[in-house]
Amino acid sequence: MTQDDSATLTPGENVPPGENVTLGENVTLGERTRGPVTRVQIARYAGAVGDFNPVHVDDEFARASGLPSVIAHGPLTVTLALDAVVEQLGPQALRSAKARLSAPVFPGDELTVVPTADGVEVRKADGTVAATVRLETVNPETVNPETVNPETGQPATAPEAAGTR
Amino acid sequence: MDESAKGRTLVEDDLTVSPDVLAALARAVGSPAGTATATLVPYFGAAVGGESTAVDGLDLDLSRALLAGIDYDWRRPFAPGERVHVRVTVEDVFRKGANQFGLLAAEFTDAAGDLVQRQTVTFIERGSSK
Repeated sequence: MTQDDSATLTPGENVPPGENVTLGENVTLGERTRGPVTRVQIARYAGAVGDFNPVHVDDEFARASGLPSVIAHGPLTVTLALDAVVEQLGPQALRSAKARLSAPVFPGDELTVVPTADGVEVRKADGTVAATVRLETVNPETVNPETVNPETGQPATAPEAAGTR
Repeated sequence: MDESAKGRTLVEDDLTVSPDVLAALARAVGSPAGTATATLVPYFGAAVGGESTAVDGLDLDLSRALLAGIDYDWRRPFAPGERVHVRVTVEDVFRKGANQFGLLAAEFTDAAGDLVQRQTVTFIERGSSK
């Protein structure tokens, strides 16, 4: 689908399945899938950010808390939503995100990141909205390519490393 | 949740944006864009300084606490290996109906003192009596 085929929505308007949505000038998002989320993925995220709350890594604890199993970290769900955006716009295009979590994500959940009028929604297979993310972006074409490594999307000249924490 | 915690600094520290941590996060994301995505969200503000930062800082009752949301403001992605200064503060604690809300703010600045990222993490404690 070309950008000319994309829809411009007003807040609250439903997005037709598979439709691209224009968020702003030259900023168009399409639907992407992530997952299914796995226990290994949750454990890897826990290790990366240092959040080992047992509700994410201990099934027995999670069941004692009334859940059917461990749940993904909310920030992991948001990260997967942002990843779907980064895939399309690159990291330099993002200025802000306001994420609201509305349902837990369990191992096995396949997530669909659906564009909305002002960002994206993360939907589970049954249609439940797990997270809503309002986005503020800049036109990716205005990002100076000379300052960005095209493979990583990071600043081309990184400050020197100064050891590890 | 401790309403007197408002304004308290929970963590103030210098960190190196470890390439190993970025790589670990990219593996967790598990997509081709993961490496770039990791440079936007390598830290969870509530866990900077240890997994008990938010629990102790807000006096959260984990049996009734939920993570309700997280906001990011970016000036740019983090660069692997760069040195940043982080400050995590309790931005607000307030009651609304039967629930309490706690907001943590995490600000990351670079060696020049320029803001790289600001996060706001919102917790809800349901039916709080504290």
